[in-house]
Amino acid sequence: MGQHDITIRVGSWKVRPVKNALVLRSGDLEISVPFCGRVDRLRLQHIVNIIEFLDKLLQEGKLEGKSSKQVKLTLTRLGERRWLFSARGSIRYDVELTTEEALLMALAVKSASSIAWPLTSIGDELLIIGACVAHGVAAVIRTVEKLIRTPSIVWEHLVISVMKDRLEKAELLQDGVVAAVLRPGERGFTLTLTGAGRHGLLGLLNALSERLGCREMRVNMLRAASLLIGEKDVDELLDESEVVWRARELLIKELFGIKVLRKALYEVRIKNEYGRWTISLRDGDLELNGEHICIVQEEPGPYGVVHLPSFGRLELDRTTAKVLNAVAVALWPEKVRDPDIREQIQRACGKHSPRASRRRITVRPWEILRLLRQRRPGG
Amino acid sequence: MIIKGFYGISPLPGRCGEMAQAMALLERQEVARPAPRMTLAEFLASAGLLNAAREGELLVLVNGTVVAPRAFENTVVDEKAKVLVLRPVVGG
Repeated sequence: MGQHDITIRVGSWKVRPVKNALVLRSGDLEISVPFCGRVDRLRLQHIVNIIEFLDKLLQEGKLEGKSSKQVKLTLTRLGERRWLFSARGSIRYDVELTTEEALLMALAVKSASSIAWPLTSIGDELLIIGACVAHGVAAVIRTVEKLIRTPSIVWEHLVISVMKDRLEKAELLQDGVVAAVLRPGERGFTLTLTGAGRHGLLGLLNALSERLGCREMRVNMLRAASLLIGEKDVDELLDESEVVWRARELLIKELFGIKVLRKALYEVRIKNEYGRWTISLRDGDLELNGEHICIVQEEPGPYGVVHLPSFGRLELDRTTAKVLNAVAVALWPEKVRDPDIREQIQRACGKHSPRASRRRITVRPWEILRLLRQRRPGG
Repeated sequence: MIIKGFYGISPLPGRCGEMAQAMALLERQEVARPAPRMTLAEFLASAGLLNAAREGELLVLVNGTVVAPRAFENTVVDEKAKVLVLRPVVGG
């Protein structure tokens, strides 16, 4: 597609590209689908795929799918121009939609699962294999580049544009109980804790909400879109929330009994003879004297448990456990036994000051041997 | 074989199952709350975590101090105790 003013006819649909959107029209139906780039880069096959998908949905009147977070999404025709969009799983809601809105939501759900990689059909993969066989590696690179440059549907905008007017509330469930409620507002979405959250970040916020003085928090629109169609879970959404960063800071103060320096909105600092440690309250990343110390909170959970007199028992989510682990490493580096972490501390410490580097963390030879043996296949 | 410490565990094939089993105990809902004159060993045992903690597979903190396995019997945790049981991080 090279011209903006061309109208293409595919079946009963007329397709008109307008800058970053495709306007699709069939009878009295008209929808505008936004893309993350100029639509004149779209391949004709891509447009045909969209039309085929919409035709199939209109014909069958039903669409079912499971998101990457195991949320079951269902779109069902109720009447001539009435559709029901439902989510069941860690999030639960029902929304009545018009046919146009139903088509937009269906496209959003379909596109959300292919955002990371533009190879959306077997045809694309065959195209690459074909290019490889016929013309070698250079042709493959050109083909992949072409596919990557293909603009994709901005599905988050579609979800928000439909949901902000139609959704009354979405319930977030933990162990079958409503732990929080997500509601659209004038300026965005609001998450309200019900007090029933027992684990993960909802549990943490629930336990600390009185101390933090917060039972409601505003949620970024794009993240709310990911949550609504089950592409992200609530912990991923809350990791970016300032209330959660404050909750983690409070936990550090309570559990370790230390004062931490707030460097930025989401970073705290600890100073000791090793130098300056920076811990991200957002993802638990750890730095010593500006050098990144790579630590991993291995999956699967559970990751840890806290008991505090005023809050009772809390099960920790993965990131909060990593943040607390990072603080433990910063406070007691000499007690770290993992050779990888010790090596990294040694390097970062040595760069900072010669005095600090004299305080060597020794990696014992048998620990290196064990590590090597462990890494050898079959060892 | 397992390389372990207060934090930093590298489970090897064959021990992963045991590790997962130990950590699964953390999920137990009926974990006891600290009571007057309860020792840390008793507290961890009631939560099913004592063996994993004794083997150095868990980081245990009471009131901001790391407690070594040999001190589990001598550390008293009452209702006011702040307890943290953490699965340690590994180097990446």
